[in-house]
Amino acid sequence: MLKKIDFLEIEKKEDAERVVDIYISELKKRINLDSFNIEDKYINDLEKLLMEWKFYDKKVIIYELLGDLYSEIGDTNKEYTYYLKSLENHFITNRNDSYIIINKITVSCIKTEKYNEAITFSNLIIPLSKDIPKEYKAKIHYNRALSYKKLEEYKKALKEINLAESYAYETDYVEMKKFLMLKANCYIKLHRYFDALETYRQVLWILEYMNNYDEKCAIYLNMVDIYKDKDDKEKILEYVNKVVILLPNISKESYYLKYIYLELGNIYRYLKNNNLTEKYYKKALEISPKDVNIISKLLDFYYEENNYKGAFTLSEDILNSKKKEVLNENRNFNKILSLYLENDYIKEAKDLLNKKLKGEY
Amino acid sequence: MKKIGKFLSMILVIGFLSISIFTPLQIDPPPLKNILEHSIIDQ
Repeated sequence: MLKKIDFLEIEKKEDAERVVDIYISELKKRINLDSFNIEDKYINDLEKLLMEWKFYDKKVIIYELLGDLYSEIGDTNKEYTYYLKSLENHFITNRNDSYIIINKITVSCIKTEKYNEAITFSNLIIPLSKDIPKEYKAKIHYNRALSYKKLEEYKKALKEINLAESYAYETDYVEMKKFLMLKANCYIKLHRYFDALETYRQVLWILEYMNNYDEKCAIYLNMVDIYKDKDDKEKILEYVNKVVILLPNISKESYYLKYIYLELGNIYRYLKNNNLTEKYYKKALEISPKDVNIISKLLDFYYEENNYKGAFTLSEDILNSKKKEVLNENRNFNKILSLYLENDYIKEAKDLLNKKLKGEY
Repeated sequence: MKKIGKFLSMILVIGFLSISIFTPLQIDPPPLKNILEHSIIDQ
């Protein structure tokens, strides 16, 4: 429908609003139908229109929808930018439901590992407290807990989880499982192993009649952390085997799958099983080929095992592909450089250094 | 030249191995946002 509109002919505000309404209904449709192919021209035309006219209420909606769309596509930078634009217009229109968009920005910050920023944004919600439904308050406190946990402030994280739980008595088990899992993870970090095991058991009890294999695996692997600290290899193997049995049942779309493979790689590395370490790191990399953390783990592993063949293959792949951000991390750069020097690839080492000095990496 | 190369690579290897001590990852649940919870979408 939009293709028929000549944007140059829009002279009245009412006409511009009508066009934006069409955009809104189209974007809603795309999100509901999981149809995310979007042309740059489509967005550029919309951006121009929004810059020319001052209908803030519509901007609140359309920017939020664009944020949602890019969130689904996985473009976190654009997701964050559009949510921020929506929030700016929220402030102009003085709406009382801005807690939802602020929570979306908080989530966006967590996804991009900007945990301090996530907390700063969620602080903006506190003055709006009276307008927020209880089940939503639970979500907000949970996201704050997750941010504190990632910042290694475990006691603050536990306080936030307790608040989340206090608002969550009406919440269904889907969210409660996540609260408990995060709580148990914090207990481990505080070396409160008894509390951690009790809490994990509560989640497993909730999961008993559900087919959430990915969550079960994530919990088993987190329980392994406790036995790793005690160096109880028998228990570690027991729980790892439980995970391996459940693996084929996990959906490829699962949020947890990448982390399950990565953690299996970590545990097999701890158990000094090199074949399975490599296998699971590679499986994690298949799911997320640009993940700097996974690439670093695999490169570390090859190095420690003096597996030059593996390290060379991975290095070449990094240098020839679009994964150059991996080299921005100095440790990875140093590893590849030392690999070349160790094997007398002096010319390659020089090229690598020159490119680094020129700022190409 | 080869000796310098070997020396440099030793320094680099010691440098990163000292940082790459085994640390467990721990799997945290994802942040909570329901994509269809638009503040205004159904109004």
